[in-house]
Amino acid sequence: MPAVSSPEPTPATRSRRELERSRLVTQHLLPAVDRLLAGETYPALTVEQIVVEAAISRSTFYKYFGDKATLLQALLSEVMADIFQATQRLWQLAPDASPDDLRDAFRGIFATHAPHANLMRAIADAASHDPATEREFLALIESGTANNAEYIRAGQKAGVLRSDLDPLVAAQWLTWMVEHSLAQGSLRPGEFDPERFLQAAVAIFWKGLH
Amino acid sequence: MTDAGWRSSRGRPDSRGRRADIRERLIAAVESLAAEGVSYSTVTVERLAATAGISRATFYIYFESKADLAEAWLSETLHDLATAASRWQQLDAMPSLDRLTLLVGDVLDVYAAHAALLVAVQTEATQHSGLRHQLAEAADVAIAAIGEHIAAGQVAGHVDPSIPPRETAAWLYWMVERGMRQLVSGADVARKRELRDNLASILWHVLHGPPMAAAASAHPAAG
Repeated sequence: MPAVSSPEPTPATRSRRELERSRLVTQHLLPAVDRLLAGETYPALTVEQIVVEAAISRSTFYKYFGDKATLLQALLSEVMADIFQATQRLWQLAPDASPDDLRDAFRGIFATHAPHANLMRAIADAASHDPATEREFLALIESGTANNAEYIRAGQKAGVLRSDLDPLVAAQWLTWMVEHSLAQGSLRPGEFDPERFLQAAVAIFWKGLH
Repeated sequence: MTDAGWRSSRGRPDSRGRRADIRERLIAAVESLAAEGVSYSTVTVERLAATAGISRATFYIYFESKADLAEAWLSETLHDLATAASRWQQLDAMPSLDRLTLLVGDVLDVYAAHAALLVAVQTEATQHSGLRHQLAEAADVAIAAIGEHIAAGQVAGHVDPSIPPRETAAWLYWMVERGMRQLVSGADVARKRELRDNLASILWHVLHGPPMAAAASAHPAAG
């Protein structure tokens, strides 16, 4: 965090500020950066390009974000919140859910991830260089892992998922699998048939755990 | 080695053998520095060469840059990983879960032995197109090999015929590649065993377990 000379904002102004910041992310910056990343890598983008594409002023950008690394973290939180929301459907599946239910859940996750695939890859790359982004990224992955582990634990308790698995360790493999496969799959458009790609994910999640 | 013989008969040093020797010493140096916590991206050629007991000038006779050395090291390590994995891919009968667990353990061990440097190189690859290309190529080869292993097992009747071979291979490869990078480096013996057992169990059941519809009906509501 850069040193700020102004006094600490009061809770009221802070939340107003946060609301405005969040509005800028969802309505302006996220769609703009998604569009720009179709042709450029994130490190190659300039603040100028970003503010022009997002139709916001430079001073607004600096007031709310300060730099590209901070913006990237804000974008990460936003996209991951969406992906987690889509994944709730999977985490909330009843123990006796069918493979079709699991497929529908995965279809929702894929659809949420797809528009942000370039951005998610940019974030994973940045996380390997920038400690702050890495902390944020790993914390989110960890939280996804905890939810997957809970899903496995509940299924074991209900007697439908295999008890030889350690819920947390199996969840770690599967969570990283989803993160990485969505990123890598999006790098290879046209190489995999989308339905078969989905079918493979469902088969691994279903058969790997049942 | 007629090629090398031809070279030395012209009075030139056997540069290929010499390069291999220098490379080995440098790789040992890189690994010992990595073990001390010196990252590949920040170490100087000077220090690398000194640790390997050669001069900076000698380094540049055989390698253009640190990245060039990393590529040489990476291709060797990827080869070791592929060799360990191929013992699984070459099985022509269904392995028991125990056998698969041992084979998975071998792959994780090779990774773990080079983990510090592999993670460094994978990180470096996000900014270096040569390394990135090398990793992508290794992934393509591995995914193709796993896909063929699945397809052959389906023909032989011991792999679930309902899973799409290439797509399943891709997801499984990416699980192992990403998971090893994030989970295996720094793992102690007990943790490595846990990672191995859970991964092997997932892999075995995905490939050799009954098809999904059958699996579902084998467990009528909350079995």
